[in-house]
Amino acid sequence: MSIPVRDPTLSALPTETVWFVEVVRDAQAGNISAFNTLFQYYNARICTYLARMVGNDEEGRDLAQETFIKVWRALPGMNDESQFNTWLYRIATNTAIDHLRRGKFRWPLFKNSVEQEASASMTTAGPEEQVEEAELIKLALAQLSPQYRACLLLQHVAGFTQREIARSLKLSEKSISIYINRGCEQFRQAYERLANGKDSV
Amino acid sequence: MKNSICMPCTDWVEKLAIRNSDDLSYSQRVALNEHLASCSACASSHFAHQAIAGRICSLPAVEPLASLPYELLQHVERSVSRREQFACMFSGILIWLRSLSAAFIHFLQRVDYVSDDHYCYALRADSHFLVWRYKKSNVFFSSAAMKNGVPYVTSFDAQVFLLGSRLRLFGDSFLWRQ
Repeated sequence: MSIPVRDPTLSALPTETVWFVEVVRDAQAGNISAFNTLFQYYNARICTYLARMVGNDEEGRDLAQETFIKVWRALPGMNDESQFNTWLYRIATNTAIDHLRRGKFRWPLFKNSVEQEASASMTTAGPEEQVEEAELIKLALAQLSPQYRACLLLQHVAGFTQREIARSLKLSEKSISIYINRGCEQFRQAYERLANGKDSV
Repeated sequence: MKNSICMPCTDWVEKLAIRNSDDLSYSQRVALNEHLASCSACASSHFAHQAIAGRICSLPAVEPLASLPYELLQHVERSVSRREQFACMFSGILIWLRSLSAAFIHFLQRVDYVSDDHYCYALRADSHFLVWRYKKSNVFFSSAAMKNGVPYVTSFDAQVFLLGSRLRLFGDSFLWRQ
């Protein structure tokens, strides 16, 4: 089974192409170099998506590892190779949501630490504005419900259409549209609250 | 971002957050653009959505994993070593069976052996038809008699050493000599 040589970092790789489907099929058959090609292509994307989902880069990378292991194990059972993209993100989303659920009992502590961290970063004179802005965005994202967050991130970070998000999260397109709107609204409110808090400090 | 958004039109509210152009048909896109040009509430809501998208996308990139997860690499190593073990065992059995069958055939027929640089050929003594061909590196003979400039070995030697080498009775140190 030979894998066609192609730069895996190419950003505009249509996941429905014959080449891509072939790679997925080879990976399904247990070809590790084919799986490595998929890994190289999705590595940065999944790490970024999961880091945004859980609000922590290191945890995002840990979850990405977990996701790729799950994907490798579940690949033989996948039915439609052309839907690998949405299938992969479904596993990643479920992994992130499970992780957030596991951390549920730590939530009050986490929330306090987040607020402390936010106020600390806001009162510190040194940090650059860009870093502060990034922190605000991360904090605002952390305040969304996981479903809304997943919808927003799949749309803006993964670049999915609403149909693909619906397929990935196994929801109706109508629900996705509503979730994205609500997610945007929640994000806007959270961001304003945090920004106002910063101003008042 | 700090200004609150006016209420957009209910008919359009779901389309305002759409960012991927594949979500709308051409006619829907045209209609949306026309509506945004005429409705300030929807336009500001649309702008707010775009701003949110811009903010989320502006977050610094996350450093990816350095390589495949360790557990996966281990799994791959295990599966490769199992496959290699199986292949080695299978080829050993196959060689042994072939040697046995070759020795049996040679025992029944009178066979002469002749060699060139790479192969050793088993020829029927009466007709000189080719019975078998071996890679020289796989067959070891004790001696080779020269006939008309061609090294011949006796079929007895061939059978004994062919089997012996296959069964590794002589180890790997027993080399071809002419």
